[in-house]
Amino acid sequence: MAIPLKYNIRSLLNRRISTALIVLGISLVVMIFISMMAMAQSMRRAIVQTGCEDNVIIKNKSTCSYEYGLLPEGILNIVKYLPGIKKNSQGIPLVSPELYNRKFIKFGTEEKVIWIRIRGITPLAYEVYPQVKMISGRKPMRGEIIIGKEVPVKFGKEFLLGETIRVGRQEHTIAGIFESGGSIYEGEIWMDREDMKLDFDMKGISLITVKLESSSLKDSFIQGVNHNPRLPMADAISEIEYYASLAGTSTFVLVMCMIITVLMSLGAIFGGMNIMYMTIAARIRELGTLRALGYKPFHILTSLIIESLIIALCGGIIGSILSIGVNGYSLELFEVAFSITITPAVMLSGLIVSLFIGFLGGLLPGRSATRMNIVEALRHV
Amino acid sequence: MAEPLVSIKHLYKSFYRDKIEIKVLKNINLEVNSGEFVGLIGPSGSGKTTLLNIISAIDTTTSGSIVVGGMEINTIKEKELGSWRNRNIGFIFQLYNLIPVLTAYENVELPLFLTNLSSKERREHVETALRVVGLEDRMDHYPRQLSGGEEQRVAIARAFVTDPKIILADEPTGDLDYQSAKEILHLMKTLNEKFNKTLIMVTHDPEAEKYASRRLRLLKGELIDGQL
Repeated sequence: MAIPLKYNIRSLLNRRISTALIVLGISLVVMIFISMMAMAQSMRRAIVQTGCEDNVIIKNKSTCSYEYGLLPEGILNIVKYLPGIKKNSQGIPLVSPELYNRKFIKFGTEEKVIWIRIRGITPLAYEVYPQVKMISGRKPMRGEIIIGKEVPVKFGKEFLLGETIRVGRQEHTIAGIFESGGSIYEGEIWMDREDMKLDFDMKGISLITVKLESSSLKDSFIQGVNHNPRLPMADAISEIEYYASLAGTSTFVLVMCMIITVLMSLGAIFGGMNIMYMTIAARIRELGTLRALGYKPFHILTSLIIESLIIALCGGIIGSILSIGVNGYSLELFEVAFSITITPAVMLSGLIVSLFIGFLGGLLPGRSATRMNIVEALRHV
Repeated sequence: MAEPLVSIKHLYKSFYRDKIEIKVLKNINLEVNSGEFVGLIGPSGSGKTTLLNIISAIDTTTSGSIVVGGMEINTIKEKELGSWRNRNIGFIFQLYNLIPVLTAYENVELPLFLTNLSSKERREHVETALRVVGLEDRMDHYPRQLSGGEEQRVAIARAFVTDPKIILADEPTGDLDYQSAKEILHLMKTLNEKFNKTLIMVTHDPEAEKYASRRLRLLKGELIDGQL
């Protein structure tokens, strides 16, 4: 049987200040790790959730993003008669020609200007993007806009229905606020496509999103568009695939988060090691006595690692609890507006990180303790 | 004739300090029989504690043979030494060496965790040991809540709770006042006479050596009195 656990727990309580300091350090590392992991995951989720299985985007072939190229207006009349496109109850093909732009927008007389994405749509967009739901107000008419629920977060203020914002050349009235299941649309302003043409002096179409009768038709539809001689400028791509390529941004965030966590963890590991070395130095005679009583180096090592793991786990639990504070916090990163969601899986990974820190923090000092000379340890005062 | 409990033959112990060989023990030949209370006496630096450490296998010999309880210590594998010590040796230290965060009861129980005793059996052993040393009513006290003499009694209880073949005491009264020292020596004598425990006690206290049934004198690493 190993050295009783109460020995470790009471030893930790006996040196409250150093224990509290290392618990604090580890809890901060874990809190930041969980927050950053949750941020990267929430961002990825927002991007990926934007796509629908049965939607296909048609954009200008010469650009990788629909933001930077326009298609001629005439293309719409060819696209909407292509086979495989779903029709609504009135027999109208679900084709959503859209304009897309980004602009610095100033709200009222406030100094703050916000870089925001604006989408010009037609009423069919609500059928192509069924995940878009009004949470207050109504769908816009000409001269009106609706805003995604993350837009107020960007501006750092609440918007009232009926307030006006100068989006382009003209003031537009806010008719409603929408949500879209956590997708990136929630960070956009939507307005009538004809209004946007005038407001932004845009001629053409940024993208056409079509809803297919079935997701199984996707590949053949894409092939049909991309090889259609009447659509030489068109590039069709699955909506999921398009947004998944944007999700690479979240991978970058994830990598950054890992680098920061590793650096911070190193700090915590060295801090923990330092305290464990100090602890062992102060308990050399105790450890020597345990060896004299018959405890093996393995028992000593295990006991010290367990002690380090207890500290780390306390830090991990506190850090996890602290991280709940950022749950639901809305922010925008790399043009993607999203809310941070702390999932149990992310919290668990935070606890695993804390245990890893604890294990490494206890391993080397523990190994040094097992190598001590018993005679010298017993002489230590 | 029964085999001696401890048999030391031609034992030498040296160590090096700044490349200079320091001979700590020279040609020690010694036998200790079961049930003896041996006093190992001599001035500071004579090698008493080193000899005790070698008998308990927490230190090694340079050459020579040492058999304890029929086992040649030099042949025991490093990883088995802990178990061997736990079964065969009880320690009493000058500074008691109790674990400060554990109660008297828990300190005495500590070596029993390495045995196969059940929790109930451990309790019985610990309570008996603390009763023998007269501390049955202080078993929940931490070392800081006990006097020096009481701490040493807890250490004695810890030394014999596993029923070892031999108890080694290194200056057990060195840190105690006269009265407490006397009580501790009485207790050790009781362990020897009433419970037939074999004790080897290192001391340079003339009062303490009177309690030993046999006295061995070490001087500059040589056994000059009581040698085989």
